[in-house]
Amino acid sequence: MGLGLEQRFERYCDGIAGILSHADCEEPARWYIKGLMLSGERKSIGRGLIHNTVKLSERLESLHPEAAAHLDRLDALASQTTDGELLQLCTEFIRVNLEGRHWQPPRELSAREEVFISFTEQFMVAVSGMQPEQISDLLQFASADEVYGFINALYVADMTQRLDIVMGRVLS
Amino acid sequence: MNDLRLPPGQLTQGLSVGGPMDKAIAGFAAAVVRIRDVDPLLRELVRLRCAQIHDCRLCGSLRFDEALEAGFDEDMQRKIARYESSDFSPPVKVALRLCDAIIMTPSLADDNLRADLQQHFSDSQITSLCLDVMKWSQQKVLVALRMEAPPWETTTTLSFDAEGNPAFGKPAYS
Repeated sequence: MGLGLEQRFERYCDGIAGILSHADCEEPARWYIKGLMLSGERKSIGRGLIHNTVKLSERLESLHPEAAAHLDRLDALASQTTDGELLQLCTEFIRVNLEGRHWQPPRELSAREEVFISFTEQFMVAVSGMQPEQISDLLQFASADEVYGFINALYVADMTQRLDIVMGRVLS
Repeated sequence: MNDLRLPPGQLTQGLSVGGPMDKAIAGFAAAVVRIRDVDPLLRELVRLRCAQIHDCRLCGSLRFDEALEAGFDEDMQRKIARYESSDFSPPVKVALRLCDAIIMTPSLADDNLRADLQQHFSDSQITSLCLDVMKWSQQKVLVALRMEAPPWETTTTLSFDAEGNPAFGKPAYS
Protein backbone atom coordinates (compact mmCIF):
# COMPACT_ATOMS: atom_id res chain seq x y z
CA MET A 1 0.00 0.00 0.00
CA GLY A 2 1.41 3.38 -0.95
CA LEU A 3 2.29 6.07 1.56
CA GLY A 4 0.64 9.48 1.54
CA LEU A 5 2.52 12.42 0.09
CA GLU A 6 3.22 13.87 3.54
CA GLN A 7 4.52 10.56 4.88
CA ARG A 8 6.72 10.07 1.86
CA PHE A 9 8.11 13.57 2.31
CA GLU A 10 8.84 12.93 6.01
CA ARG A 11 10.54 9.67 5.10
CA TYR A 12 12.65 11.55 2.55
CA CYS A 13 13.62 14.08 5.25
CA ASP A 14 14.46 11.23 7.63
CA GLY A 15 16.76 9.78 5.01
CA ILE A 16 18.60 13.06 4.52
CA ALA A 17 18.81 13.76 8.27
CA GLY A 18 20.09 10.25 8.92
CA ILE A 19 23.23 10.76 6.88
CA LEU A 20 24.15 14.15 8.32
CA SER A 21 27.25 13.95 10.48
CA HIS A 22 26.09 16.33 13.17
CA ALA A 23 22.84 16.02 15.08
CA ASP A 24 22.46 19.78 15.26
CA CYS A 25 22.33 19.94 11.46
CA GLU A 26 19.17 17.82 11.36
CA GLU A 27 16.55 20.42 12.16
CA PRO A 28 18.02 23.10 9.84
CA ALA A 29 18.18 20.47 7.09
CA ARG A 30 14.48 19.65 7.51
CA TRP A 31 13.54 23.34 7.33
CA TYR A 32 15.81 23.80 4.34
CA ILE A 33 14.16 20.94 2.43
CA LYS A 34 10.69 22.20 3.34
CA GLY A 35 11.70 25.66 2.17
CA LEU A 36 12.65 24.23 -1.19
CA MET A 37 9.11 22.85 -1.52
CA LEU A 38 7.45 26.23 -1.06
CA SER A 39 6.15 28.03 -4.11
CA GLY A 40 7.40 31.42 -5.22
CA GLU A 41 10.83 33.00 -5.13
CA ARG A 42 13.00 31.31 -2.55
CA LYS A 43 16.38 31.98 -1.08
CA SER A 44 18.71 29.10 -1.60
CA ILE A 45 21.99 29.38 0.30
CA GLY A 46 23.75 27.30 -2.29
CA ARG A 47 22.43 29.23 -5.22
CA GLY A 48 23.34 32.54 -3.63
CA LEU A 49 26.87 31.47 -2.95
CA ILE A 50 27.43 30.15 -6.42
CA HIS A 51 25.99 33.14 -8.21
CA ASN A 52 27.68 35.77 -6.06
CA THR A 53 31.12 34.23 -6.11
CA VAL A 54 33.81 36.03 -8.05
CA LYS A 55 37.12 34.48 -8.92
CA LEU A 56 39.39 34.97 -5.94
CA SER A 57 42.53 35.13 -8.04
CA GLU A 58 41.18 37.91 -10.27
CA ARG A 59 40.27 40.18 -7.35
CA LEU A 60 43.50 39.45 -5.54
CA GLU A 61 45.62 40.16 -8.58
CA SER A 62 44.11 43.58 -8.94
CA LEU A 63 44.29 44.48 -5.25
CA HIS A 64 47.34 42.65 -3.90
CA PRO A 65 49.32 41.15 -6.79
CA GLU A 66 52.26 39.89 -4.73
CA ALA A 67 50.08 37.93 -2.31
CA ALA A 68 48.07 36.68 -5.28
CA ALA A 69 51.22 35.30 -6.92
CA HIS A 70 52.19 33.48 -3.73
CA LEU A 71 48.69 32.06 -3.41
CA ASP A 72 48.80 30.79 -6.99
CA ARG A 73 52.08 29.06 -6.24
CA LEU A 74 50.61 27.52 -3.08
CA ASP A 75 47.62 26.30 -5.02
CA ALA A 76 49.80 24.63 -7.65
CA LEU A 77 52.12 23.06 -5.07
CA ALA A 78 49.22 21.74 -2.99
CA SER A 79 48.10 19.37 -5.72
CA GLN A 80 51.67 18.45 -6.69
CA THR A 81 52.86 17.52 -3.21
CA THR A 82 50.01 15.23 -2.22
CA ASP A 83 47.76 12.66 -3.85
CA GLY A 84 45.95 14.88 -6.36
CA GLU A 85 42.93 12.63 -6.74
CA LEU A 86 42.42 12.38 -3.00
CA LEU A 87 42.86 16.12 -2.56
CA GLN A 88 40.32 16.75 -5.31
CA LEU A 89 37.81 14.49 -3.59
CA CYS A 90 38.29 16.28 -0.26
CA THR A 91 38.25 19.71 -1.89
CA GLU A 92 34.92 18.91 -3.51
CA PHE A 93 33.62 17.76 -0.12
CA ILE A 94 34.61 21.12 1.40
CA ARG A 95 33.15 23.14 -1.46
CA VAL A 96 29.78 21.40 -1.36
CA ASN A 97 29.53 21.73 2.42
CA LEU A 98 30.52 25.40 2.43
CA GLU A 99 27.82 26.01 -0.14
CA GLY A 100 25.30 24.47 2.28
CA ARG A 101 24.56 21.53 0.00
CA HIS A 102 24.66 17.85 0.75
CA TRP A 103 27.73 16.02 -0.53
CA GLN A 104 27.20 12.81 -2.43
CA PRO A 105 30.33 10.69 -2.94
CA PRO A 106 31.02 10.32 -6.66
CA ARG A 107 31.42 6.55 -6.15
CA GLU A 108 31.69 4.03 -3.37
CA LEU A 109 34.61 5.25 -1.29
CA SER A 110 37.55 3.10 -0.31
CA ALA A 111 38.44 2.73 3.37
CA ARG A 112 41.34 5.11 2.76
CA GLU A 113 39.09 7.73 1.20
CA GLU A 114 36.60 7.35 4.05
CA VAL A 115 39.14 8.22 6.73
CA PHE A 116 40.51 11.16 4.76
CA ILE A 117 36.99 12.51 4.22
CA SER A 118 36.26 12.09 7.93
CA PHE A 119 39.43 14.02 8.73
CA THR A 120 38.50 16.70 6.20
CA GLU A 121 35.09 17.17 7.79
CA GLN A 122 36.60 17.71 11.23
CA PHE A 123 39.29 19.97 9.76
CA MET A 124 36.76 22.25 8.11
CA VAL A 125 34.25 22.33 10.97
CA ALA A 126 36.48 22.73 14.04
CA VAL A 127 40.11 21.76 13.99
CA SER A 128 40.27 22.15 17.77
CA GLY A 129 38.03 19.09 18.06
CA MET A 130 40.39 16.85 16.11
CA GLN A 131 40.98 13.59 17.99
CA PRO A 132 44.29 11.70 18.04
CA GLU A 133 42.48 8.69 16.56
CA GLN A 134 41.67 10.69 13.44
CA ILE A 135 45.39 11.12 12.81
CA SER A 136 46.06 7.47 13.65
CA ASP A 137 43.44 6.51 11.07
CA LEU A 138 45.28 8.49 8.40
CA LEU A 139 48.55 6.85 9.38
CA GLN A 140 47.08 3.46 8.54
CA PHE A 141 47.07 4.54 4.90
CA ALA A 142 49.88 7.07 4.62
CA SER A 143 53.29 7.87 6.06
CA ALA A 144 53.77 10.73 8.51
CA ASP A 145 55.33 12.82 5.72
CA GLU A 146 52.34 12.16 3.47
CA VAL A 147 49.88 13.02 6.24
CA TYR A 148 51.72 16.26 6.94
CA GLY A 149 51.72 17.12 3.23
CA PHE A 150 48.05 16.30 2.86
CA ILE A 151 46.99 18.47 5.81
CA ASN A 152 48.98 21.43 4.48
CA ALA A 153 47.36 21.01 1.06
CA LEU A 154 43.96 20.75 2.74
CA TYR A 155 44.60 24.03 4.54
CA VAL A 156 45.14 25.73 1.19
CA ALA A 157 42.04 24.13 -0.35
CA ASP A 158 39.86 24.91 2.65
CA MET A 159 40.88 28.52 3.12
CA THR A 160 40.97 29.54 -0.53
CA GLN A 161 37.41 28.34 -0.94
CA ARG A 162 36.30 30.21 2.16
CA LEU A 163 37.94 33.39 0.87
CA ASP A 164 36.45 32.84 -2.56
CA ILE A 165 32.95 32.70 -1.12
CA VAL A 166 33.28 35.54 1.37
CA MET A 167 35.23 37.94 -0.83
CA GLY A 168 32.77 37.34 -3.62
CA ARG A 169 30.03 38.53 -1.33
CA VAL A 170 31.61 41.47 0.49
CA LEU A 171 33.74 43.27 -2.08
CA SER A 172 32.22 45.92 -4.27
CA MET B 1 52.15 18.56 27.66
CA ASN B 2 53.43 16.25 24.97
CA ASP B 3 50.45 15.36 22.83
CA LEU B 4 52.11 15.38 19.42
CA ARG B 5 50.27 13.23 16.93
CA LEU B 6 53.07 12.98 14.39
CA PRO B 7 56.25 12.60 16.44
CA PRO B 8 59.01 14.73 14.88
CA GLY B 9 61.13 11.60 14.36
CA GLN B 10 58.63 10.38 11.78
CA LEU B 11 58.84 13.55 9.71
CA THR B 12 61.60 14.07 7.16
CA GLN B 13 63.23 17.46 7.45
CA GLY B 14 63.25 19.19 4.07
CA LEU B 15 60.63 16.86 2.60
CA SER B 16 57.59 17.57 4.74
CA VAL B 17 58.68 19.82 7.61
CA GLY B 18 60.71 22.62 6.05
CA GLY B 19 59.93 21.25 2.59
CA PRO B 20 58.60 23.05 -0.51
CA MET B 21 55.06 23.39 0.83
CA ASP B 22 56.18 24.77 4.18
CA LYS B 23 58.39 27.26 2.35
CA ALA B 24 55.58 28.29 0.01
CA ILE B 25 53.23 28.81 2.96
CA ALA B 26 55.89 30.89 4.71
CA GLY B 27 56.35 32.92 1.50
CA PHE B 28 52.63 33.57 1.27
CA ALA B 29 52.48 34.53 4.96
CA ALA B 30 55.36 36.97 4.57
CA ALA B 31 53.72 38.56 1.52
CA VAL B 32 50.54 39.07 3.54
CA VAL B 33 52.46 40.62 6.42
CA ARG B 34 54.05 43.10 4.00
CA ILE B 35 50.62 44.47 3.09
CA ARG B 36 50.29 47.33 5.48
CA ASP B 37 47.01 49.05 4.78
CA VAL B 38 45.24 48.04 8.01
CA ASP B 39 46.36 49.37 11.37
CA PRO B 40 48.36 46.98 13.55
CA LEU B 41 45.94 47.08 16.46
CA LEU B 42 43.07 45.83 14.30
CA ARG B 43 45.28 43.17 12.71
CA GLU B 44 46.22 41.96 16.17
CA LEU B 45 42.58 41.64 17.25
CA VAL B 46 41.83 39.64 14.10
CA ARG B 47 44.91 37.47 14.66
CA LEU B 48 43.86 36.71 18.23
CA ARG B 49 40.31 35.94 17.13
CA CYS B 50 41.74 33.36 14.73
CA ALA B 51 43.82 31.95 17.59
CA GLN B 52 40.72 31.64 19.78
CA ILE B 53 38.60 29.89 17.20
CA HIS B 54 41.34 27.49 16.17
CA ASP B 55 42.53 27.01 19.77
CA CYS B 56 46.11 27.76 18.73
CA ARG B 57 48.24 27.91 21.85
CA LEU B 58 51.23 29.40 20.05
CA CYS B 59 49.27 32.29 18.51
CA GLY B 60 47.46 32.88 21.79
CA SER B 61 50.77 33.26 23.59
CA LEU B 62 52.03 36.01 21.27
CA ARG B 63 51.44 39.74 21.15
CA PHE B 64 52.32 41.75 18.04
CA ASP B 65 54.82 44.41 19.10
CA GLU B 66 53.38 47.12 16.85
CA ALA B 67 49.95 46.54 18.38
CA LEU B 68 51.40 46.85 21.88
CA GLU B 69 52.94 50.16 20.83
CA ALA B 70 49.54 51.23 19.48
CA GLY B 71 47.88 50.56 22.84
CA PHE B 72 46.87 46.90 22.76
CA ASP B 73 46.39 45.44 26.26
CA GLU B 74 45.07 42.30 27.91
CA ASP B 75 41.70 43.91 28.57
CA MET B 76 41.24 44.03 24.79
CA GLN B 77 42.33 40.43 24.52
CA ARG B 78 39.66 39.39 27.02
CA LYS B 79 36.97 41.27 25.12
CA ILE B 80 37.58 39.47 21.84
CA ALA B 81 35.58 36.39 22.81
CA ARG B 82 32.47 38.53 23.40
CA TYR B 83 33.24 41.26 20.95
CA GLU B 84 29.67 41.88 19.84
CA SER B 85 28.64 43.05 23.32
CA SER B 86 31.96 44.80 23.98
CA ASP B 87 32.83 48.48 23.67
CA PHE B 88 35.02 47.85 20.63
CA SER B 89 34.44 50.39 17.89
CA PRO B 90 32.14 49.52 14.96
CA PRO B 91 35.08 48.97 12.54
CA VAL B 92 36.66 46.47 14.95
CA LYS B 93 33.40 44.60 15.41
CA VAL B 94 32.77 44.34 11.69
CA ALA B 95 36.34 43.15 11.06
CA LEU B 96 35.87 40.42 13.67
CA ARG B 97 32.54 39.52 12.09
CA LEU B 98 34.35 39.11 8.78
CA CYS B 99 36.87 36.85 10.49
CA ASP B 100 34.08 34.70 11.95
CA ALA B 101 32.34 34.46 8.60
CA ILE B 102 35.47 33.19 6.88
CA ILE B 103 36.47 30.71 9.56
CA MET B 104 33.12 29.45 10.75
CA THR B 105 30.27 30.12 8.35
CA PRO B 106 30.89 31.75 4.98
CA SER B 107 27.12 32.05 4.54
CA LEU B 108 27.25 34.73 7.29
CA ALA B 109 28.82 36.96 4.66
CA ASP B 110 25.58 38.63 3.66
CA ASP B 111 24.50 42.03 2.40
CA ASN B 112 24.61 43.47 5.92
CA LEU B 113 28.21 42.44 6.44
CA ARG B 114 29.10 43.78 3.02
CA ALA B 115 27.48 47.16 3.77
CA ASP B 116 29.11 47.39 7.20
CA LEU B 117 32.53 46.53 5.81
CA GLN B 118 32.26 48.99 2.98
CA GLN B 119 31.26 51.72 5.40
CA HIS B 120 34.56 51.40 7.23
CA PHE B 121 37.07 49.84 4.85
CA SER B 122 38.22 50.02 1.24
CA ASP B 123 38.20 46.89 -0.94
CA SER B 124 41.96 46.73 -0.54
CA GLN B 125 41.63 46.75 3.25
CA ILE B 126 38.84 44.17 3.23
CA THR B 127 41.02 41.92 1.10
CA SER B 128 43.95 42.45 3.47
CA LEU B 129 41.81 41.37 6.38
CA CYS B 130 40.67 38.29 4.46
CA LEU B 131 44.28 37.39 3.66
CA ASP B 132 45.23 37.93 7.30
CA VAL B 133 42.56 35.42 8.32
CA MET B 134 43.91 32.90 5.83
CA LYS B 135 47.46 33.50 7.03
CA TRP B 136 46.52 33.05 10.69
CA SER B 137 44.47 29.97 9.86
CA GLN B 138 47.68 28.25 8.79
CA GLN B 139 47.68 27.19 12.43
CA LYS B 140 44.89 24.75 11.62
CA VAL B 141 47.58 22.36 10.40
CA LEU B 142 49.59 22.64 13.59
CA VAL B 143 46.51 22.44 15.83
CA ALA B 144 45.24 19.31 14.02
CA LEU B 145 48.60 17.71 14.72
CA ARG B 146 48.98 19.43 18.11
CA MET B 147 52.38 20.78 17.09
CA GLU B 148 51.58 24.31 18.21
CA ALA B 149 52.59 24.30 21.88
CA PRO B 150 54.70 27.42 22.53
CA PRO B 151 58.23 26.77 23.80
CA TRP B 152 57.89 29.62 26.31
CA GLU B 153 55.72 30.06 29.38
CA THR B 154 55.13 33.81 29.32
CA THR B 155 53.25 35.90 26.79
CA THR B 156 55.88 36.83 24.22
CA THR B 157 56.27 39.55 21.63
CA LEU B 158 55.86 38.84 17.93
CA SER B 159 57.57 41.06 15.41
CA PHE B 160 58.26 40.94 11.69
CA ASP B 161 61.31 42.05 9.75
CA ALA B 162 61.11 44.11 6.55
CA GLU B 163 60.63 40.92 4.52
CA GLY B 164 57.68 39.83 6.66
CA ASN B 165 59.52 37.03 8.45
CA PRO B 166 58.44 36.50 12.06
CA ALA B 167 60.62 36.79 15.13
CA PHE B 168 59.76 36.01 18.70
CA GLY B 169 61.41 38.13 21.30
CA LYS B 170 61.05 39.14 24.86
CA PRO B 171 58.17 38.87 27.33
CA ALA B 172 55.32 41.06 26.13
CA TYR B 173 54.81 42.66 29.52
CA SER B 174 57.46 43.44 32.09
